[in-house]
Amino acid sequence: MSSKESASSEVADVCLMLEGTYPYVLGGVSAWVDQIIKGLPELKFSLFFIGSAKADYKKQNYQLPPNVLSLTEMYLHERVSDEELTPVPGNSPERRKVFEAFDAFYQADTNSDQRDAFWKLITTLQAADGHITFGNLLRDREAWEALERAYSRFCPEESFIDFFWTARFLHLPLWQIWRAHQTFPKAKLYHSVSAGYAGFAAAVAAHLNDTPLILTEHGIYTKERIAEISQAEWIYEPERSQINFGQGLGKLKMMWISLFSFLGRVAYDTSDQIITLYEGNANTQVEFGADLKKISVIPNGIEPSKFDHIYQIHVDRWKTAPPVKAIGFIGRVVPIKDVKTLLRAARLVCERIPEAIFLIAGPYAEDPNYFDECQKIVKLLGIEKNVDFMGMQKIMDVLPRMDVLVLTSISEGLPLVVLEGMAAGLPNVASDVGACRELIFGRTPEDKAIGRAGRLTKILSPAETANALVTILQNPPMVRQMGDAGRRRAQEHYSMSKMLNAYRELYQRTAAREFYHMRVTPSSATPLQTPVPKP
Amino acid sequence: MAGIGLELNKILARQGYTSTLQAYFYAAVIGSGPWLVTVAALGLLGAAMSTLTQTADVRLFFVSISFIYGVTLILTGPVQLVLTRYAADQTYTNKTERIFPTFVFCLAWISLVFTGVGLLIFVGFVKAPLLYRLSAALLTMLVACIWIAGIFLTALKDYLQVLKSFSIGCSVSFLAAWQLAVNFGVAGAMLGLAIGHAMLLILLCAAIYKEIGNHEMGRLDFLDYFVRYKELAACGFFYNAGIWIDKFLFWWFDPGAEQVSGMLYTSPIYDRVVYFSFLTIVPGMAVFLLKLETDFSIKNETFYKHVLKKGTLAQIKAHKRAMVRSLSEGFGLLFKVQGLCSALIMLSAGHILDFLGLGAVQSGVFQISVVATFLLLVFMSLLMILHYLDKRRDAMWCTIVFTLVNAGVTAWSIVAGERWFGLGFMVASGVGVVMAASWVNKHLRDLEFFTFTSQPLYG
Repeated sequence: MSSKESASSEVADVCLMLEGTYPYVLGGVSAWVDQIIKGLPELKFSLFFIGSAKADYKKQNYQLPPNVLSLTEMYLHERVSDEELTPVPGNSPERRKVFEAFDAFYQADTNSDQRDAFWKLITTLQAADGHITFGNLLRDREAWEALERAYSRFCPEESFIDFFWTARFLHLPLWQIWRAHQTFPKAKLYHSVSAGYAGFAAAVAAHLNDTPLILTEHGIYTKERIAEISQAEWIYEPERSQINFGQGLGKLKMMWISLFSFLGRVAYDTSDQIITLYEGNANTQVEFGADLKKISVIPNGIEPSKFDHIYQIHVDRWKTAPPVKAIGFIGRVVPIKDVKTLLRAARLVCERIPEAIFLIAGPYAEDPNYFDECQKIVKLLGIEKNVDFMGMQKIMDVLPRMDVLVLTSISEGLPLVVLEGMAAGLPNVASDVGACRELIFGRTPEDKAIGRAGRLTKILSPAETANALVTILQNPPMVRQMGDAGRRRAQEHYSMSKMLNAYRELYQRTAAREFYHMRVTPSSATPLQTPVPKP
Repeated sequence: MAGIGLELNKILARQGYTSTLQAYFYAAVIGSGPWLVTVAALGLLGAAMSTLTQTADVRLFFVSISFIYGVTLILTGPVQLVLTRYAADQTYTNKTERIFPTFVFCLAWISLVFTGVGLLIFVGFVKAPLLYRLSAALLTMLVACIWIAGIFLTALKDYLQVLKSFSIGCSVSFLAAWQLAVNFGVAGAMLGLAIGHAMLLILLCAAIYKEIGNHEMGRLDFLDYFVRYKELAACGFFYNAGIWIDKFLFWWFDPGAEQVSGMLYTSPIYDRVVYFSFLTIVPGMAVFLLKLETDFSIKNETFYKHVLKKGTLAQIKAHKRAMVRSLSEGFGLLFKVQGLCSALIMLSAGHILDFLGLGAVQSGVFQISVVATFLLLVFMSLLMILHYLDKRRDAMWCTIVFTLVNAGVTAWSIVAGERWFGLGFMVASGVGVVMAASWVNKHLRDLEFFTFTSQPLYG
């Protein structure tokens, strides 16, 4: 563990727990963190950054605003010090209690037993401070015995050496986080920006300091990790046919999956409030163990006024139907965006609206093969004149040239382009993934009353996409109607100020423990999720 | 001892009673080869020489040889164990081409150093004809080199060649010593013995060259091994020191000891009896070595294979139990065979000593030292297991305690009187057995625990 602390004894209003993101890594979540900190200047923030290895974060991409009190860092894959690897010698009853707690944790039968065992373990670890190092965990007989018991309970048929090393590397990062607990910044409340290790650390911090905890998930960390592990080749699996996700996976992969499920549940259980970007994700969170009563939706926000002039251009263009109708696709040319379906739809559109052009704005260097295939399809379909791969573009430059936006992705969260298109008054044709349904149809009753901001299509359906585009483009009043609805929705429900207000209020109410009574224990009837599930 | 197991297994695979006996015989040669050759040659010489020269000369001759053995064993001890480890590691990592240059390197240094040691002892501190003194110095060097060459015998596949080398070395030693003794007296006998040993060394080196030889120059990485395996070096030193310390104490402090010449002494009541009792453990040693190198080493290998090649914990534990079983069978056999031999020898001690021309006083010492060597055999076998398990530190402490106890109790026994002679050796071996056994027991019980938990987190 390494930690750099801009010394500050002041208690922050909010400590943000960040895993592999702000202020080092560029991206959607980092931009969001930046918005929150800058948008709530009256609050004092402390940051706790969890990274893989220090060398992975050479450049700090965001300047810390003045209301950030401190930035503390720790790295999960940093080499453990020799001191930490040296077992504390002698016999210590405190240490024995820790190992007993570990054993109870491994042997817990239900999620709630496991959770209780975990907090018991944390208590014993606190009591054993100074009596135990990771070296004891590696070398002590009691630790070995607990491990042996866990093995014979969960996977007695598995290669032991792989189990052994998997177990070591499962525990190591958690131990590092535990070791870092003294460096957790003091704060009135902890706010983790993801589940996983950050959520886990935040839960421990909130527990130790007896403060409230908020968890915001942009994606679903646990789900993403599980998908990643299912495909990982570095985890040993005996020869067996891999059928699909979760089934037929080796026990060692299941160990990793169980770890992340467990981390997720610790964060969900401890959180006073769980925030998601759109309702669809709330269901997934519940699936992974979150209590629905704690979940609320705070979508990402944009600055709608930035798009005023584009809106004006659009309105002017559509006073009468324009001679050329430009359909915009903004996104990377990669399989997950399913550009091929878009191109097939383009062919169908061009048959009925020959003057239609497709502006595909986005980088294509990421997957050259896929881009190559896309170009071949364009030739094959004979629509070279109608399709323009523009490469990487600034959104403010291309939006004014577009009449309608299209999105054919097979997977999305809350796609910012749809929101920006709406703010600019453009109708959207989007596949029914992620938050698209909420963006186009509205979420709450009053939101729905605003009307539709475009049309929703099934994924992988060129015909539906083409139909939707043709219907909209051949009906100028509809273009304007949908565009205006989208613009209103963006202004009223997806503005940055609305998001900031929501968080301001959330912070206030959480700090005042207004949600405290909601800290409920999930029923013990939740499905069994032990470190390694039984066969 | 990588190669010997294979060869012994091959012999055993032929089945039948004679091949089993052959295997035992070969194990005996490998286990105590150079030592048996000398004893056999000396036995014959003893009989032959008493007719040729004066008793004082014969005594000088035998005392010189035992002194040479003691000194070379103690001083080459550290090199022997470290070199064995080095050869085993290189074999394991498939870098066998490194072994021969290292062997040459060691041989060169050992011959240089022990020429010096021999000259110092015999030219410096012994009064005898110059030819005798030079020959004895030469023999010192040769014996030291043979100890070093002996390490590689186990790696040789051509065991017939090894047997041949020993029988030729043995015969030449005897014949040359005998013939030269006729013309030059005791100095000739010493020279003849040296010639025979030179012959043996050359034949062994030839066999080694044939098997693993190449033209590389000496390697220095072997020297790092002394730093890395200093416990092994200490173990080699103390083990041999522990075996010899009681003799030295008798020579120097027993009022009954006689000065033969210069720094050479003899303790008539004690030392010859103990030398002879050493011969009694050859059968037990062969039996155990055979079991260790065939059955146990395979079980040991299987165990580690299951650890490394994705075995389940149940499999790993089952293979550990097989190891333990093999070991207890080995010790069972050792106790049976050696117990029988030692018992028979003790019962007929009177007759044997008569035959050897030793008196009744020695009979008690002899019986004690037969028990002592029996215990020493068990101790030695346990040490081998500790080395197998790579518990170098424990093995080192066993040998240190062994040496200290032997020194302490022997010193006391010299003061206490004849009836206690040999007790130091016996008690030391017994203490060694208890220590080593408890460690072997503990390490085997915790084998999988230590095997896994001792893995460093960062490789």
